[in-house]
Amino acid sequence: MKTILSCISRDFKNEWRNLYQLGGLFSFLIGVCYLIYFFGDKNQSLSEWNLKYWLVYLFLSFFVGSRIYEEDQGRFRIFLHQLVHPGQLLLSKIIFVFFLLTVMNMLILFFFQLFNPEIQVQFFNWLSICMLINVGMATLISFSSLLNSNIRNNTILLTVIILPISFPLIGMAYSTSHSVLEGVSILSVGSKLRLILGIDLITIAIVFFLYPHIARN
Amino acid sequence: MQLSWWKLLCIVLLAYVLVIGLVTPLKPGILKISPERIKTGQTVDIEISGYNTHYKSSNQVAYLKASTGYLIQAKEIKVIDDNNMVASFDVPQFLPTSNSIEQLSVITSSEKDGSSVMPSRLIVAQDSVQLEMGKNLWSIKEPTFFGIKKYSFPFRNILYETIRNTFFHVSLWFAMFALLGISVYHSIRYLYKSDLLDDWKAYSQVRTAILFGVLGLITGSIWAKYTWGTWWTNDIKLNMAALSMLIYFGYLIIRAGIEDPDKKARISASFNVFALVAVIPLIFVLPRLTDSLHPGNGGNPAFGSEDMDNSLRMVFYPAVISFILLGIWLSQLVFRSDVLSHKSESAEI
Repeated sequence: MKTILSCISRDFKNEWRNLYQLGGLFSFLIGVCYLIYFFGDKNQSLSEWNLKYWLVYLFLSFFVGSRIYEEDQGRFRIFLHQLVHPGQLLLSKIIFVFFLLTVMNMLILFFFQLFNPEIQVQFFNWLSICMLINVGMATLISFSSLLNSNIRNNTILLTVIILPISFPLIGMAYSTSHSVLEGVSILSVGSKLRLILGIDLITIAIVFFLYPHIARN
Repeated sequence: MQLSWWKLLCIVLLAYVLVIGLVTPLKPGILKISPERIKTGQTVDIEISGYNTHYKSSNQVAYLKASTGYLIQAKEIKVIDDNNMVASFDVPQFLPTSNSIEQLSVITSSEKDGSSVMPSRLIVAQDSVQLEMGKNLWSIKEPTFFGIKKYSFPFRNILYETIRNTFFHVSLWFAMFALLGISVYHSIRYLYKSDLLDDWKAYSQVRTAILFGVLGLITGSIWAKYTWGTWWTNDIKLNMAALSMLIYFGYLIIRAGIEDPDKKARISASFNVFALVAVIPLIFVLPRLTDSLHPGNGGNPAFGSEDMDNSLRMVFYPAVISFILLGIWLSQLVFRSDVLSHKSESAEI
């Protein structure tokens, strides 16, 4: 546990020291939200709003995914694996990405609400859905990034990997959040939430089954 | 060539599917009726156009049936030719329903053609609702309808002759999933035993599965054009199937992106396992959550008695088996070709 916490803290410190990367991510977020507001229809429907929200989230998650194994390449990885078990390293990355994605979720929501206050969102219901989705997405992004770091660390390749395999989660996120936006209570979408949880658990199980084979050198 | 028993079985089954699946006629059915809108309290002549029918050869009976089960029989039938006839009905003043508008089914029956139904096509309007009067004017007694003795496939409006595509389109998807399942088995074997042959087997199976998937999309698209009127729709299952193909294209791209054979095998085997897990919710879960035109999704029954009867099953199940065997056979050939090209490359070096 201590090792995992150290790894997470290292990731946070890395982010803090390379603040321009995080700043780039946030300025991209604000820019996209503003462009949507500026060029988009002012009276957009719930489904349109919802679709844009998850599209912005998806593209930002690519950015996050392209960076998380950036620091741990080549010889440094061999050195790092002597200090930390690859499983622990992966888990720390997942927790870190989960945190980052949740913050991004809330920021996207903030800017969407700022530019389009007509759409009413129940904050805690929204947060619950986002957190549930982020468990699976964080696992998926960390896994894809691990795969990618073993290939050529190519962002386009990472997109090719992440985009299709993240679709079940994004599809479920869209479907569940749309119901919540329409005013359906969070308890009434329990079956969808259980399904997301199921996908999360399967993703985690498969990733932790596969990572030793990928990390092996 | 070493001909294993299963390859022989594959050839026999494929020949059976092709011959029986394409030669067996459809049951006689009603292609269209005219007019499609009538009013109560009139004598109406309804022109009935049949498909594969023999109206001239045997005595015909025609009925109009309401959704409540009440029906009336045609008072007179004029046969024009084997596929066209005119049935005259004295439509009573009141309908046996509490609605002012009712959709009636047209039923024809004869000893040679059996019974044919055009479900809920004839729209009939009444000026005022008199349920009890309507019930007295219409008959509740179900007449004896003839069955057809000849082996034939069901006649379904919209589908018509394209119903035969079930044997090819659906079987291709079954075969694709079987191949992907086998490839995952080989990928896992590779991850544990590190035998490159296992990885090559998985690779050949995935490529064959992709071929089957693309053929499945093409046959589905052609089918959609004839039944839904467009090559591609926003139907969820259709799009999720296309997305599944994208996942496996990703597998091919990953393989192309790594040069070290061991790393290539390791990473692509891992991705292959993950890809199948990602595809399962796409094809089997998400389409059930929303409306879909495909059977088995969005509230449509999966191959219920409306979609698949015993005559179709007699060809469909052999078709599934034969396509799976064909897929395994093809992937074996691809695998052997890979091994040979690898050997020749090694010899050149």
